[in-house]
Parts: sequence; C-alpha cells; structure tokens
Amino acid sequence: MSLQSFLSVFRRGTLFPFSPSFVELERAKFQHIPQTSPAIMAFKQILSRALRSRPDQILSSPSAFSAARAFSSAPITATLFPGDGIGPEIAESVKQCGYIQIFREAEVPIEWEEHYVGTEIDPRTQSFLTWESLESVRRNRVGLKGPMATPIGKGHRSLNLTLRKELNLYANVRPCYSLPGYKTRYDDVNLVTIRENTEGEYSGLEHQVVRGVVESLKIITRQASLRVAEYAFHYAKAHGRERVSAIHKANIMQKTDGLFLKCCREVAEKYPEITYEEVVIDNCCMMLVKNPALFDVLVMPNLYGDIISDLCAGLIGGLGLTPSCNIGEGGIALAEAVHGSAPDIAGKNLANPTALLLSGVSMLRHLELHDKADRIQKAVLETIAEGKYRTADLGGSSTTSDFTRAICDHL
Amino acid sequence: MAKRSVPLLKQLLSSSSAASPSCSSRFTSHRSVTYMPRPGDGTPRAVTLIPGDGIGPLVTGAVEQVMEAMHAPVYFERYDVHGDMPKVPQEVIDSIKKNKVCLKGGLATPMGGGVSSLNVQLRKQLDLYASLVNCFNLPGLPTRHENVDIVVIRENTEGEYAGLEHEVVPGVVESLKVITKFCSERIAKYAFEYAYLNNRRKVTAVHKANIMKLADGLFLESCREVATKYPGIKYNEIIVDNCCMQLVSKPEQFDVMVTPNLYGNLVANTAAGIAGGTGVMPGGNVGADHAVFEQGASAGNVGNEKVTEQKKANPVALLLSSAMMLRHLQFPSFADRLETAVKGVISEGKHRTKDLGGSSTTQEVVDAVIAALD
Repeated sequence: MSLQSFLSVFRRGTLFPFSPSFVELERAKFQHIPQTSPAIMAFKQILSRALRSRPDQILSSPSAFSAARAFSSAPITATLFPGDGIGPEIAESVKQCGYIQIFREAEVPIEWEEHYVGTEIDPRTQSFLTWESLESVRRNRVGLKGPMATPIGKGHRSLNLTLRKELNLYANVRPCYSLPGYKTRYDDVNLVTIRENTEGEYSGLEHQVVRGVVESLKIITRQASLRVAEYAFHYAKAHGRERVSAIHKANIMQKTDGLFLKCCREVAEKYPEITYEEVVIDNCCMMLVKNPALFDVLVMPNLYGDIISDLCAGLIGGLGLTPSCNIGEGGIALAEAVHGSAPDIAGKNLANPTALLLSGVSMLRHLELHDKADRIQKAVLETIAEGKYRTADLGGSSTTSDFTRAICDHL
Repeated sequence: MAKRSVPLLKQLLSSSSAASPSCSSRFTSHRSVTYMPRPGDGTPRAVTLIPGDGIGPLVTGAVEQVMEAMHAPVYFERYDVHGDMPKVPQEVIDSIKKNKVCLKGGLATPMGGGVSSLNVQLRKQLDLYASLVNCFNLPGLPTRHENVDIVVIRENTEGEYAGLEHEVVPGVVESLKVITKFCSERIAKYAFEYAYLNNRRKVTAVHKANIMKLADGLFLESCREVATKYPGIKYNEIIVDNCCMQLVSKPEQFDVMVTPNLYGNLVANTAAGIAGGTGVMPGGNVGADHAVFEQGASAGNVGNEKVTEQKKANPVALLLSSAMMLRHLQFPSFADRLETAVKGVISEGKHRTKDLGGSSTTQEVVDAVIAALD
C-alpha cells in the first residue's frame, strides 16, 4: 500500500469508525483483553488494517451491527447448538468443512463451542436451555443452531422463544436465492427477507372478552420498527443490494402499519443511494408468485414476515435448503436452520446439511469474512449443481457424509 | 337387404351429422336443459353498478357492453362512488338493499390518510360476511402451476380488519384483532355448504393457532364443529406459513379453503397469482341478504395510472364474476354462454391484455368476447 493511501487511512481512521464502540467495550469485558486507551487501540487497529490492506474493511463502519473482527487475530469462538434429531449429523458436516477450510487458509480459525439442549428445566431460564448456553452465545457474539424439537408439555417456555427473548433477537434475515442445478418452478429468485421478530401480531397478548369473543393485540412500536429498518438498510448497503421494499397493509391498518412505514421512510432518507418503495402485502404476494425477480430486499413486520419468508422458501425449494440468521442487540448473530428435526431419519446418515451450511455462510458474512463465506457457498452450490451427490430430499441417493466430502473436495 | 341397410343407414347418418354446419360461433356451450324457469322469471332484473376508480369504469363498461350484446335480462343502475369519499352514499346502500345484487369495480383507498377503506365499509354495512375467490387454471393460459382449482372463502367482517387502533403512548400503537364465535361459525357453515352444493371434496382451514392460541383457536373450534355435520367432506387444518409454501410448490392438494380475514387476503392473492393473476379470477362477497360481485382477489383491482390511460385493463375477471352473478340471479344459460365465450377467447390467445402476456386493449378483448358469443 502506498504512503498516500496509508496516510488517508490514518486520517480517516482517527474519526468515528475507530472509536471504541459499545461492541468493543463489551467484548473487552468478557474476553479479558487489557483495556488500553482508545488512542492506542485505534492506532493498533489502523496499523493492522493497513498492513493487511483490506480496502473494503476500512470503509465499513463497525456500528452496533457488524462484529468486524478482521483486525483481531484472536480465534473466533462460535457457539454451536447441534439440536435434536438430524441436528448432530448435519452439525458434523459443518464442522468438517470448517476445519478443512482452516488448514488451507491458516488464518482466522473458528472454534466451535458445542452446547446441547438439557433434559431438565433450568430454573434460571425456565426452559431446557441452560444458562451456560445462553451466556456462551452472549460471550461469543455468534452462534449456529440446528433444528430443535420443542418437547410438548407445560410449565416451560418454547426453546425458540427463550432464545429470542434472552438474546433480544430482533431481526430475522433469510436470503433466498435459486440454487442452480436444483430446478424448481422459479429460476430467478434472488431476494432477502428481513422480518421484525419481537412484536407485531406475535406479542402473545390475547384474552377472552366474553364467552365467544376473543381479542388479540397487535403492537407496533417506533423503537422496534426503527431498529429493524436500520438493520435492513445497513444490510442492503453492506451486501450491495439496490432496493429495499417495505411490505405493509397500511390502507386497512392505518395507524399500526402507518407507524412502521413512517419509520422506514425516516431511515430511507439516510440512505439516498438505495431505492425505497412500499408495497401492499396482497400485491406483494401476487407479484412474488408471478415474478420474484421484481424484489430485492424486503423488510416487514412480524406476521407478514413469517408468511412471506416461508413463501420465498417455498419458491426456492423448501425449508431444507433455506439459510436463516437472527440478529440481536449488540451485534449478536445466531444463524439457524429452520427446518424440523426429522426424527424419522435421525442417525441414518441421510439428512441434507445444506440449510445448516448455508446458515453458517450467512454467519460468516455477518462476521465480514466474505471471501471464506463465498468459498463455502460456491462449493455447496457447485456440488448441488453437479448433481452427482445429492441427498434423498433433492432427488438423489447420497449419504450425508458423501455429500459433505463432495463439498470439501470443491473447496 | 335389411341386414345390409342398417349399417348403410348408420354410415349415412354419421356422415351427415359430421358434415352438418356447426353453430355460427366457434365455441359451443353446454346446454343445461334441466333448468325450468317459473313464468315471469324473464323480466329484466335491476342490478346496482358501481364503476369505481382507476380501471373500474373500463372493466364495468366492458361488462355492460357484453350484457347488452347477449340481451341478458339485467339492467344496471349506475352510482358513482369514489374511494376518497368519507362513506358510501346512503342512496347506493338503499339501491343495493332493494336490488339485492351489485356489481362493482375497485375503490381506491388513499394510503395512510385517516379514511377507512370504502370496500371494507360496504362489506360491513351490508353484512357481506363471506368473500369468495375462485382460482383456477384457464385452459390455454400457460402458468407455472397446473391442476389448480382452489376456492378461497374468507371471513369478511372482523378479524384484523376490525379497524380498532389507537396510540397508547407516542411511538406505541395497538391494533385489535377480534374473533367471535358467531362470525367464525357462520363462515365455516358457508364454506361447508358451498363445498356440499358444488360437489367439492375437501375443506382446509388456514390458521396460526400455534402462536395466536385463543383467537385462531376459536376459529378452528368453530370449523371443527361444523365439519362434524358434513361427514362426506374431508376436513384438515394447515398453518398459514406452511400453506403459502405448499401453494407455491404443490397447489393441487387444495380444494376449498376457509380462512379468517387477513390470511384470506394473502392466500387468495397467492392462489390467484399462481393460477394466472388477479386479472382473471372471479369472485364476490355474499351475505344473508345481499351479494356484491367484483374482481376476485384484491390486488390490482384499481390498477395503476399507466394501465388506465392506455385502456389496457383486463376485463376477464369482472366478466367471469358477472357470469357468477347471472347464475346467482338464476339465469344459468346466459352464464354458461358468457363463460364459454370468455374462456374461448383466452384459450385462442389472440386477444390478451398485458398481464397475460399479450398486448390488446380492453376494448379489443370485449369485441372478441362479443364475437364469440353464440
């Protein structure tokens, strides 16, 4: 890197992007890094960045969203919840691909901290997830979750609800793109759905007014809508997306969806380079099934997001192929595979690890390890496109281990 | 000689019938001979007509032209209603109450403007509690999905569209979703009755009761109760997000679907989209006393300015809805003729509007339909 660019980095570096943000301070607390003064920390970061010469990293601002760790050489620990049913097998494939990657690159290794769902209710969390598991996610900032079967019964919260509430996961991101080589009726899908995950129709506030009349409350707050809109535009910018569409039903629910739209408009003004539009949900449904190429990034409140993200998963081939990532306060990212735990094929080496692998890829993108993420994603897509090794649900007859080995060969 | 004459006669008769001139139109409709009208049923019936906004006047004009060409025993009483009026004028309501049947185009709701939707108001005032959309593959129209024949029956008065919203504190807004046993029961009864009268095999209830346990739980309870009274019709339940996923991958599994208000909107538009678009799906709203027919699914029923200016709106949906209206008024042979003509024009493929992949204007499609009437 020339002296000019080094100086420009230095000049730019002393401004906002390198001020020790909330994320750094929090991390320092947990990882016992000696708290150096902000200036020295800034200088160290600038130096390591300049020497690594990653221009794209310099320009991105590590706001509370991205856990940009490329400048730290400490190994990244990530929490892994293998889950139930087919969970442990597909988690194994993720680990294998991760390690092979490590040996080749020898750069930033990922260490997986595995946590399993307990068999008894932990009184501190009121569910089967232990307090240690949650602490580990809070500490590591990233996690990967396999399918979990919620045991039926009363007296405890559902596992997904526990994770969402304890880690304050406010946005659910689902990138949906057609897998080349796996033919569905739709070939040109390339969109991302971002769904508000905490409030809306799913607040769970219902009551029976009189016998035979039930009321259910839908709550929209300015704070949550702003948060998810900010994340949506940040995501669009960070991933080079051009358009953000807000999906609503404000012609009928004028105040609630109207508030959501107002917040989206406010955030849109801060990102003039990204086109912003508003689409009524029934129009959106129809346009999605007729021509999915019309959409790019979709941001929606909770209920619409649930339905539209599952609709988009159906367009590309189902939940067994769709990655998903939950974003929490302070830059926490918990990627998860949204399909079920399939107890009938558990242990038989038949499961399809694609969803978990692609979720791991979105986790890597959140960590801004874009080149590694691209490599793994390319390997997965190539393996599926080739068609020689496909698991049973894609119409082939390979086992999980064969499929994994084929992907590792493609890396 | 008698032995040889019979096959000769048979041959003569068969060749004569093959050579006999076919009917003047290219498309022959099925004659329903079993319909026996009462004396006096042929007097023209009055139907309220609301042209509406956007493409509404275009497509309702198309219906009027076709009705005249067919000499159907209906005459229209026109009333001008626009989406930005504060409420539907009383004279329109009185006319619909008198005539019992109405045909309308879409009414545009100004977005976020404190004016509640006139479409919803009309339905609530006349208590049109069931909205029906019939989504099916039109022969000759290529779509990504085959074998689609879904009827979505949607509760039309309560649910999320109750319109009860308020701001709790600045920045926090609440909206009430109301589900009552009374409304859920009557929509379930309507759905099963529809299935029974139209020879449909399966009714599917769409819900989200795993999250909204009390509200959608009440809806499901009502559906289950009514299902026990129709043992010949299969009944199952499906969660709304799974339902949308199945609709885009395997729509053949659905037959009649009964849903609360909001999910019905989404499911109807998705089903219409997979079967050819909302420009061709007929539908209507029906209550105990009145019926209002309009374009089936609500997306695009007002259209955008470009379409209105160029006069390229698709009249097929409203034409098929008016055929439903004719059957509702007990004029089945007119309904059959209209449907056959419209389906014939679509399957020919020469006159199709932009949303179906062609480039005709509304008037061209209408002329083709009139020419195809027998």
